[in-house]
Amino acid sequence: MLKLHRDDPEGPPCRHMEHFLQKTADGSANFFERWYAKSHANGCGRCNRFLDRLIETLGQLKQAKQDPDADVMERLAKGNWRNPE
Amino acid sequence: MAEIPVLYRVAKRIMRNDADAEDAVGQTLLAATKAWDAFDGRHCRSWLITILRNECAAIGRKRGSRPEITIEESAEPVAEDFWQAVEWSLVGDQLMAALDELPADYRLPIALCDIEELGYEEAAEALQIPVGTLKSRIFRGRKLLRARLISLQPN
Repeated sequence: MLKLHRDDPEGPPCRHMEHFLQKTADGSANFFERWYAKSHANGCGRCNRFLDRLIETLGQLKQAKQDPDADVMERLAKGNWRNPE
Repeated sequence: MAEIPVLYRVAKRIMRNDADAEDAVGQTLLAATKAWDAFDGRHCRSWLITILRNECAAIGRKRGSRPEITIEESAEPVAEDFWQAVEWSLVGDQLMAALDELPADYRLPIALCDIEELGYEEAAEALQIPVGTLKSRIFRGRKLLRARLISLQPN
């Protein structure tokens, strides 16, 4: 019988689930896709771990967003653009 | 101008250094000012990012830099049997350094959608690619990013 869930959390997520897990993590999944992904992940160690860590990484990417230094912002906002020759 | 920080961050992801990023944003603002009448009034950020990409390419040509090698969509998938080794404590500069190592085809979709939080349609318009292509590049880019993060882990 085909086993659709993996109990051990080590290793890659289930191949057929990765697309749904990615969409769930980034918030682009619709209701049914999210339900399907989360239901599967609840019973699958690998996919559960994959989903948790992907959500965490995406959160870190957003947090890592830095504004330019104040002097750079000032030059750009004031229109002090130089020709990059 | 509210879009300057976004443009600067995207320029940094393209040029991967501060001076060139600043030059590219300056040239973008200049070009946008000249071309304002041609703007159709839809996604302003996408329009600016499209100009920015062209300006970055122009600066690259002036510098004599070679175009980046791109990875074919059909490239072999990254092995993923490394999850157990990942410590997700990498933040900030390390995360950005890992992102900057990705080919531009994957780096920019992630920068636009996962960092700048543009919608798929807006990002696809900025990169002038179909939405389906954008999504596949984001998904694959995240895989590559994870692989890069693994390589940064101490043994």
